[in-house]
Amino acid sequence: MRGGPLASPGAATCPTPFGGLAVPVTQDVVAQFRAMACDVTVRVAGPMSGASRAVAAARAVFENVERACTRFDPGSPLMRANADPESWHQVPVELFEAVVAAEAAYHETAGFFDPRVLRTLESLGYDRSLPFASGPVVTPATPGHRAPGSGTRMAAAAAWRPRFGADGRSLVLGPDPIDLGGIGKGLAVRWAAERLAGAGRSALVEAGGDCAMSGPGPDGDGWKVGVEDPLGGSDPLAVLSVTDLACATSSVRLRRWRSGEDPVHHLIDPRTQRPGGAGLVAVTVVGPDPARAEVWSKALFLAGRPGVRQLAQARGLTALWVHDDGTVGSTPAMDDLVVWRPGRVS
Amino acid sequence: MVRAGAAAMAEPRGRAARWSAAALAAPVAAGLFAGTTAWAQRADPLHAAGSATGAASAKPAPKVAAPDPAMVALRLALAANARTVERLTKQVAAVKAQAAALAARGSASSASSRSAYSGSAQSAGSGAGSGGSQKPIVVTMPAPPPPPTQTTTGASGAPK
Repeated sequence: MRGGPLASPGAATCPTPFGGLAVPVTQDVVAQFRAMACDVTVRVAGPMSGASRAVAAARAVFENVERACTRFDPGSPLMRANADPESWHQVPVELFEAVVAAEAAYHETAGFFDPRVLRTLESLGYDRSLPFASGPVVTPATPGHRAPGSGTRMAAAAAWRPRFGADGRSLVLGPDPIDLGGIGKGLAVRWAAERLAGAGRSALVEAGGDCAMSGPGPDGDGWKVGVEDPLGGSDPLAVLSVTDLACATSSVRLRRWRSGEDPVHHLIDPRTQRPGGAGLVAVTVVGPDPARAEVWSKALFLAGRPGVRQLAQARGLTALWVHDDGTVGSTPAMDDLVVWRPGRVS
Repeated sequence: MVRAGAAAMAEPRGRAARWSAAALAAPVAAGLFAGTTAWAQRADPLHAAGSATGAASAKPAPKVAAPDPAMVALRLALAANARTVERLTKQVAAVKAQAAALAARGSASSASSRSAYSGSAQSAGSGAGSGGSQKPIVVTMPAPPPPPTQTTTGASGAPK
């Protein structure tokens, strides 16, 4: 993990998305660092005394979650449990809570969210942190790589039933290893945001596209959140104004590569054990909790273009999605949050 | 008798006096008339105010002048411009209405254009190609820039 400065009041700047000039955030307390393979920003606007300690505590959350839940360190508690998933393991509280939350999400989404896709990701070459931001990534086709549609053991697997000890620190993952990447990040955002309660008039935690915002924002009229164009446009697809909400996006803009000859991405459909979300390139969900928003953004993505609207509306979700042809769909609840979108007339 | 004699003596004396007075008054009246006429011909009533009549009576009488050709031309040009503005205003309104109609039709048929919104109440791509044989007219309106944002939601790990 690469650390960044913990800014003092009156000395920090926050880079604006989409290449704008840096905006002075005088009086705000801001920390920017890298964790969980993404850039993280923690910001308190209108800070109270003790805001710097709260920001430091929020940063520590990310360090602890990454240490406990990373799958890129063979010695991490998660990977030790994954190495022998049918045995009991004593784990840090962060990992315990993450597996509890993952099981709840698995049931809530009727299996759309299933962390037991780790072996598929590894078989596609995503068994280490890949340099997606540096250019095209190609991984060798492995013997375990399954051709699309060939069917897998996982696709026919029984329901996931991890077991948990009453001590809150021991668990059995079940027969299959798991990946907690997405939900782990959402949980880290949730827990970090909790550390900022009372630290100031408004607060923001953002990590790799997942964010939680409290209070009226630095300008008093809501936090302005740009929804990234997954096709690479410099302007956002929409700008949202949110207060006391969280948002998450599942996108294949960055984490896509070639496994041998096959173009693949990291959002694996547990029903097929292959990259899913046909016809979609990104889904954004807004809700009270960042972890739940993360889970549902992935589940909606895996529903694909034919099913995304129906699933979002059936679940009453605040969602926006982008088709692979660049067109955009959204639910009425999302439309209520949009304060700007491209005003093209053509 | 005295009375009659006095009367007889007074009449010639009075007639002579009248003739004398007339002989004196006639040239004076003629001179006065001539002088007044000459003054009236030279004097400008708009600029004769002031000194003799005082400020209160110095208000000039309205001058009835002949129409200035330049002013007439200017008024005609103004009227023509007003008519042009009115006509252009109507044209702008018509073009706006046309653009709105095209936008409504274009949003449904521009499934191939990048980042086009399908809206919350309709499925993406529905209505594609609904333009029929009518030749589309492309009207590009400048979009307002996005407002400043404090954060972004997007691809995990994307460089900022």
